[in-house]
Amino acid sequence: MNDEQKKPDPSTLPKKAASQALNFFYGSKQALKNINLPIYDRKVTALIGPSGCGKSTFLRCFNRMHDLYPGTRYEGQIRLYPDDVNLLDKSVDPIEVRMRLSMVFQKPNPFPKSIFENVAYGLRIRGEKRRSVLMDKVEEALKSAALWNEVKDRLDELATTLSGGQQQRLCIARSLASEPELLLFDEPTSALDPIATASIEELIHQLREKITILIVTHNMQQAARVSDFTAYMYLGDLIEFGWTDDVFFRPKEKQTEDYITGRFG
Amino acid sequence: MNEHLSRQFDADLIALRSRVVEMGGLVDEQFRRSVEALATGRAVLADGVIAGDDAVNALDVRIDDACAHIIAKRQPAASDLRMVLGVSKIVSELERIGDKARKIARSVVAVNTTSDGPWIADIERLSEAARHMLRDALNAFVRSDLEAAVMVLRSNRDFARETSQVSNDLVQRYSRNADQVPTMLDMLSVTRAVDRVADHAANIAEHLVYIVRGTDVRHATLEQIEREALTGR
Repeated sequence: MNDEQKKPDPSTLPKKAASQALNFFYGSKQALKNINLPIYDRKVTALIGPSGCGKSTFLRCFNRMHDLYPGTRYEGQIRLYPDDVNLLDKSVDPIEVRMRLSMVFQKPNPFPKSIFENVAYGLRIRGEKRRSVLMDKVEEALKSAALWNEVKDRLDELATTLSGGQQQRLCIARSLASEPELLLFDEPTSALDPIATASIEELIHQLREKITILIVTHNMQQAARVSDFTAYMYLGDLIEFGWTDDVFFRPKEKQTEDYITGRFG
Repeated sequence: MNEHLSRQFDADLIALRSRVVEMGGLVDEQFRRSVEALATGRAVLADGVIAGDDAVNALDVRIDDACAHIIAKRQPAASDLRMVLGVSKIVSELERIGDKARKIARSVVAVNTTSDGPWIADIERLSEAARHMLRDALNAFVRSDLEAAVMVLRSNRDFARETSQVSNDLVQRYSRNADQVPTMLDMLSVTRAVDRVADHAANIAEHLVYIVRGTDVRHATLEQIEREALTGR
């Protein structure tokens, strides 16, 4: 009833991507059912829901990770803007897709290489050989991932000598170095302690000014803290999507309400 | 509403709600006794009300503390969060009703010297109506009954007109006699306190709309509140 409660109509915002009538099957089992979800440009969108709801499956459609497994099948589209390409189109090379979208996983997975080489890796496989360019890009990525000050004097050390939280920020730096258009986070802090979690969340907060983020999280409070939009999924259906403020304070659907208040059973 | 997966959380929320009702019963009784002291002129009764305000304040602090602990430990969301925040606001209203009872009790000696029968009768009638609103608001809270909450808000509109009439009558009768002006001011202050009790009951009804609908209607018109409470728009 007061103005602060009224947020702009999301449909007026520019989109970075959108799933359209997306179905996904593991063999004969349908894991996603007609998902229509906009991903707004330079906003953080959180996917929440109980285990098995399809949130990680949905995230993995974006970088075509399911292509690695036999017997999986997509229907519908995921459009990436502004060029309006369908990421799921057979003619689109999944390697090309993964050049444009980066994924950060649940557990930090640095390569058994130096800190520097981890971040430079994506650039090297794209053919960048100039040391000065690599140096600049690595520094920029590490700064963006809020890790530079901690590692600038030990870039040649093995990445595995870093703490868990540092390793995860290194993986984020590695993702950022290849300048992705969309950053996909699959439970990025579930293996981290509260302090490391807070630093990743702060990082997400800073990154959203530059990049669109889609994050899957089991931690609802995290979704509430870091995201602009929240999508609640259940058994492969998208139940509710809206501004995070609304979803967590005044959800429209009883199923969402039950889930976020811990009444799910 | 389904139960939480955490039974302890359910137990915490149930305890919170029952303490609100307990506090509501306490301030209702404080208010009733303050008006009885006024009508009968019994200073002992008035002293009891004044002393009893400590118990009201203690419950206010205790319930607010319980709200803070639930927020810290459970990080409630959606309807649970609104319940905890709403309870905190309702408790403030109850605490202020307790203050009004104390204020009325304090004026017993001063006012009673006049023995203004018609005014006392008005106050007794109005305070009964205000207590009715308070109890209806608390029952609406217990049952999350928005229709009942709207009824309380409607009653308050009529109530304000009546108290204003009682105050006008007092001014008509007393203001020409300079000796009686101080006593008249005391009576006006009591009349106003009774009016405020009804306002606090109405505020509780508004907080219930917030708890159930998630909309802050404190500064809305009655018509807007009715629409929000009864249709959710």
